[in-house]
Amino acid sequence: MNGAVDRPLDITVDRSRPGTVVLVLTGDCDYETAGGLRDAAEEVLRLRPAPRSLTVDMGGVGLCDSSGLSAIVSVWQLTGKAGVSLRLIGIDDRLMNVMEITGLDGVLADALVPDPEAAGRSAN
Amino acid sequence: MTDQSLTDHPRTAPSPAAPSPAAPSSAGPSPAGPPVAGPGGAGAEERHEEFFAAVSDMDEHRAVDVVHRALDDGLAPESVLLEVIAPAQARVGAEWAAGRFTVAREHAATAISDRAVGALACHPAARTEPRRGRATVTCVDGEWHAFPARLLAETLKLRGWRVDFLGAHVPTPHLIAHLHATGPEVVALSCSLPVRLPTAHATITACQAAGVPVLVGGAGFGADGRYADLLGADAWAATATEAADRLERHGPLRLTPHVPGDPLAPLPHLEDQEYTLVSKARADLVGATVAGLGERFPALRDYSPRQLEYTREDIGHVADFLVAALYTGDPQLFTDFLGWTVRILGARGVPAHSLALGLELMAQQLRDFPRALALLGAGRAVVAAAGTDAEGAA
Amino acid sequence: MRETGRRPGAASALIVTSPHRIPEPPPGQAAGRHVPGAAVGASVLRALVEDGPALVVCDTEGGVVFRNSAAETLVPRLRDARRLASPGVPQWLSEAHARGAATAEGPAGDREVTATRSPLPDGLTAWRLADVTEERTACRRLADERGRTRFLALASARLLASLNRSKCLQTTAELAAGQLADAAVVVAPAGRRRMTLTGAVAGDAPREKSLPAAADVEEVPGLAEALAGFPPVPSRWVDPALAPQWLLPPGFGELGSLVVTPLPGNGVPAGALVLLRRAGSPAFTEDEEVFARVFAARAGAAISAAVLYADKNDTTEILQRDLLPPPLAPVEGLDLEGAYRPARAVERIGGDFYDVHPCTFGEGEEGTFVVLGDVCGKGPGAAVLTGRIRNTLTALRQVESRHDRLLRLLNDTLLRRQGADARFATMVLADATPLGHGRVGLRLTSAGHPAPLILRGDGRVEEAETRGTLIGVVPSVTSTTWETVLEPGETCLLFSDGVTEARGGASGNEMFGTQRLSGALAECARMPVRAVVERVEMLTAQWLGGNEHDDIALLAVGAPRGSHLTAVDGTGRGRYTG
Repeated sequence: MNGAVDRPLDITVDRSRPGTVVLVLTGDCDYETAGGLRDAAEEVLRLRPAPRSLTVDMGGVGLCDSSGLSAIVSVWQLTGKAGVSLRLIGIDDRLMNVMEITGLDGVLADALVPDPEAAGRSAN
Repeated sequence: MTDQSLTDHPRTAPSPAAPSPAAPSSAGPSPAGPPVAGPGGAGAEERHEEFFAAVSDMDEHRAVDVVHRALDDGLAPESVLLEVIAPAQARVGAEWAAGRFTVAREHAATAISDRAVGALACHPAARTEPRRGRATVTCVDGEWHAFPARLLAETLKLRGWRVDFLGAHVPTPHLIAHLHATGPEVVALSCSLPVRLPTAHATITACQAAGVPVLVGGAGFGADGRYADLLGADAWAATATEAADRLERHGPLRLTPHVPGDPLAPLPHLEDQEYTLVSKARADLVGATVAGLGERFPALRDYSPRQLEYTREDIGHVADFLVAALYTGDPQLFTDFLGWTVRILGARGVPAHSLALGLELMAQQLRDFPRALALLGAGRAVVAAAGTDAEGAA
Repeated sequence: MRETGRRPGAASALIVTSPHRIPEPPPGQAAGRHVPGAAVGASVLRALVEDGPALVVCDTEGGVVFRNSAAETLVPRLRDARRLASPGVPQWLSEAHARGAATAEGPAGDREVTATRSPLPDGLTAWRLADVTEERTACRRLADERGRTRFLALASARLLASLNRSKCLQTTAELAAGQLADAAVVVAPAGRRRMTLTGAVAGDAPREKSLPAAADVEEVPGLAEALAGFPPVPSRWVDPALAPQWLLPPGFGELGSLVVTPLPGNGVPAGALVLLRRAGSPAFTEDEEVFARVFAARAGAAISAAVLYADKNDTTEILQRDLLPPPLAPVEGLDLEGAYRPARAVERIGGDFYDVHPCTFGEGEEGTFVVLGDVCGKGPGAAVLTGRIRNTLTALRQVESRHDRLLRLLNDTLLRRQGADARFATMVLADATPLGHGRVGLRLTSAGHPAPLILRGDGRVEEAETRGTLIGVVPSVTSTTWETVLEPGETCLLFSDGVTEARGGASGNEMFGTQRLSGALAECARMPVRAVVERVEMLTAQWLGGNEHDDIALLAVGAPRGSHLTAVDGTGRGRYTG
């Protein structure tokens, strides 16, 4: 009630590069907001022509709780089914630590390989 | 200020509100009447010594053993509860206040006492058929000193009440949900530290709005229960025995009639918003005070992060008492706490000047709050007087 | 000085008339004739007139020829007025005089006054003035009271008719707008971060909207306090200039006055009622404010009943778990203590759980199986999955004792469940086996869960070296199991991330963290498990300092310190061994 500042999750869709859609997240990815990430991913996968890859830029994410993780897993499942390659970038140490504890680092290993191009974009 | 945080209070709550931490009433319910000797063995007094020795040694099994033997020998369960266990617990609090017990040891002792109460409740001698109404015994939200409430819960059980003991730190919405679900005759609400009085006030009015009268107890309401009335409690009791008697002898506790909006009538000073504004600014107040201490008190710069955290907690506690005094409008709430703190610091060989400095720094930040300034002024006088006493004694 | 402007003739005309009542001249009697009685003396009659009810005598042109002191008290400006039509003298009186009306009434300052004409001789007219303020107020109060009683009866009937939150809020806004103000807005929490504003302009249907993201209830003075609900704060008059635009219902117009009143409800804060009046409407009186509070109490009770009803459907069971937790059965040669504190906010209640089962490991090894876990997500959905996992684990535990295989079985079961989504669970499994002499063997396996901490006798804190995949998401899970022995007095603490991710501290937003947890634990060396659990729970709550939090679950497994040699005679209390 006091103190802890909760921020909503803003999701910006960047389609400037052909074949790739980037979801740029800013804010907290938690129980109340994680649904937005799932919805955004579903929307991307409905695009025609379908993108070859989806990049989720987590650089602007403050808090990411288990619901946030669950949303990431959802996105991973959805992209897997749709045959779209997934990349997760901008993951901070704390979130990486949580992924290690939960063993998700292994599950999401392919998505966690940094895509130099996307990483460059994220840095800009 | 110290190696350990003063705010890390012992579970027995040697209360800042009560002048003497050793007074039984300050550590919750105390026995009424002289010790009664069991027919087949030692009296309560002797068993109390034995029990205290066991909890001091953190020896749970020996403590439970003392309780079992006392009951086996025919000592009344209520006597065991209130004349063997309760006073030992009060002594544990006093030992902490005197700097002879660490918080951890005090904590362990309380846990063991609690287990001993549990063992007592399971003993055949303590088996009682519920023949009275249903009562809910609970602690105010944020309150960790559950032991006095536990003693009351067990006392009421022994007297034939159906008791739901909700324990420490009960969120008010959960308490209210429980009241709506079970519909007890009375809520017994325990509050050991006056800093929780604003929360206690919210809880009392919420219970009453749910149609259940509230009996309050615990050192938080003042040694004489003065804040119970102020906050509109339907009854106050100093000890478990008194509470049980109150519920037995005077018939069912009735809800004090009140009109909507009335609860704040005895607190007209809240109009000035000082309570609201200062409590809202608590984090900044504490942060700036600690920063100021760092500038004025060079030793602070060499503190370890842990020590700094303790200092921050101590200053936070001063701020909490200030805020509670602003709420109740009673300067004594604040000055008693500071007097007590000076004694606690004294017992640990810590001079009180950092405390005086802290108060001064707070006053600098609260220039626009006349009531807060008056409180801080009174507080500084208490600390200065205590410092002079200490020097005189030395 | 008082005599100035008074004509001697007028005075004599009065003196000869009854000072209390100026009668119509009897038929046939010429006006102005002196009746016997003048002998009483002018001064006596003067005194009687001065003492009598308020009286003003005017001539045909509206000139004031006389007024007594009662009239001056009632209308102070009469003292110096030469004409009835003077500033400060009620206009309605001079108009009635000019009109030739027999009676008139209207305000005089803050009083209500009636005037009755009596013709006097010499073309003069006496106006008897009576102060009827009390009487009129009483009548009005009675009428108001009747109106309010009727309104409250109607309000109660309408409010109690529904147990739906939105409906109750709308009814409240609509009733308040109709009776108490030009418009009303009910501000009520809807979940942790959301606030709804239900606004109604008198005569229009109420509309509900969310508090805009950029808006803050703190912008309206007193609103945050009113929303806290208990103790109910008095209503607060707010400077209309301070009212943010989001508070006003669309098309309301210019704001004249507003009052913020809490809706205390029956033990649960229901929200706050904001009453709005347009510029030009009279401001709120104290009386109206008191009545608004009475209405607010009823409306609050109805709203909180609806909220409680909704919550109850979802959470009774979950709350009961917290309030009356099942005691952990004592286990021989093992100390166990648990704590479970669900999130306060209903929508944050998640799926933390722990279970303890006595069982046999492998070759007839007697021990205790412990699990502590966390189902991701919150609310009833998570609670349902928690129940499923607990039941499944209990069943599977009968057929499989190896942790890695057990977790694989559980994972397969969960993946096959109906409507599988990305909901997952993390957990720690522990087998605890008393080894004799107070020692306890521990086998620990984490499945995506923070590793348990082990508190050694000398205060060292170790992290169990176990790691594994979370359950319920991926087809194949792996895990490593770690074994250790607890010496007497040592404790192993299983915990959920509600502890380490508790946000609070000095900044109010810092995580409690594993480091701080280890530090706290290190200070608990050789404490009984109960004290360890309580202490960690207390430090976490103090760290939170009232902030919202997720579920918090703790379970400590301890090797008993100073246990008795129960083996000596099996049942006796035995010999204390230290």
